[in-house]
Amino acid sequence: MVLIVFFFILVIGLVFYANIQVGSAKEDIKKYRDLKAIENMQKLLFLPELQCGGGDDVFTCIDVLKLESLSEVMANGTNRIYYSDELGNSLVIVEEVYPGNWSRILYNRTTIGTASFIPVSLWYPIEDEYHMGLITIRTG
Amino acid sequence: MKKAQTEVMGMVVVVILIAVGLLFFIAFVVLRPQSELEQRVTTSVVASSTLNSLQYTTTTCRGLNIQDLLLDCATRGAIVCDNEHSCSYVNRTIAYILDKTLTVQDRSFVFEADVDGESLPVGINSGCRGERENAYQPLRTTYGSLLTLYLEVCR
Repeated sequence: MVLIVFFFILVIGLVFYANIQVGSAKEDIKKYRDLKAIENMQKLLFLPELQCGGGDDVFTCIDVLKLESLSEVMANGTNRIYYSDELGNSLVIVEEVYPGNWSRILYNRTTIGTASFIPVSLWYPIEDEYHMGLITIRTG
Repeated sequence: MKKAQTEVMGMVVVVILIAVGLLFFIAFVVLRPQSELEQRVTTSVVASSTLNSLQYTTTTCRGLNIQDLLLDCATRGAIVCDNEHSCSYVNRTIAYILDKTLTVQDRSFVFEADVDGESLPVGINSGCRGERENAYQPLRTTYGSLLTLYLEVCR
């Protein structure tokens, strides 16, 4: 009788252990996605293809003219492969929140995953004006 | 009798095993802290980058940026746009921008400014709760006083 109960408890213990391992694996996947989101964010903010050349002390700044060109470049077949290696499975949206109101999808290879938001300055080099923008990066 | 005692001892061992197993389950599964790495990193970047980007943002008030308007608010208060003095104009503009950039991320914030320790009539408080990250920016006015901007972003 005791042996039966003991083996029953053992089975329950094994089920608990399996659940713990599954939970641990899910946690590891989430951590990896978080790290990937941070990595993609840093890569994007320091892409020479987007960085400002205004010379002011704005440290998260995107040149709007470069942005318009880059979105076309990224959509090109050969370049798409290059940027896929850099940014992986992610969705990058750049939007202006003040004074204008527009948004542009810069890169699109996924729509699932957690989103990270970073406020940035959008520099209009011809007018020499900075507008307030927001980058959304969704990493799958 | 002895057999009964042995059975009871066995049951006690089983109960102890269950209790220990439950303790491990609670410790390693239920109470495990969730990964907040991405949240922590982005919160620390958000406060400083928001404040930095905010002050250089060009407004619709004569093409002046937020920093210019705040400096005017801290000194002469001579600039008027849309029938509003610089202090109320810049306060309204900052509230709009921070709402569009921070509230949309479900982050609350506090923005304040003072000159040599005296508060300016510019400040927004959306009710900060949770983990906080601060950024501040000192600016020297033409009168030599120190204008300090504070932004606190919360999760």
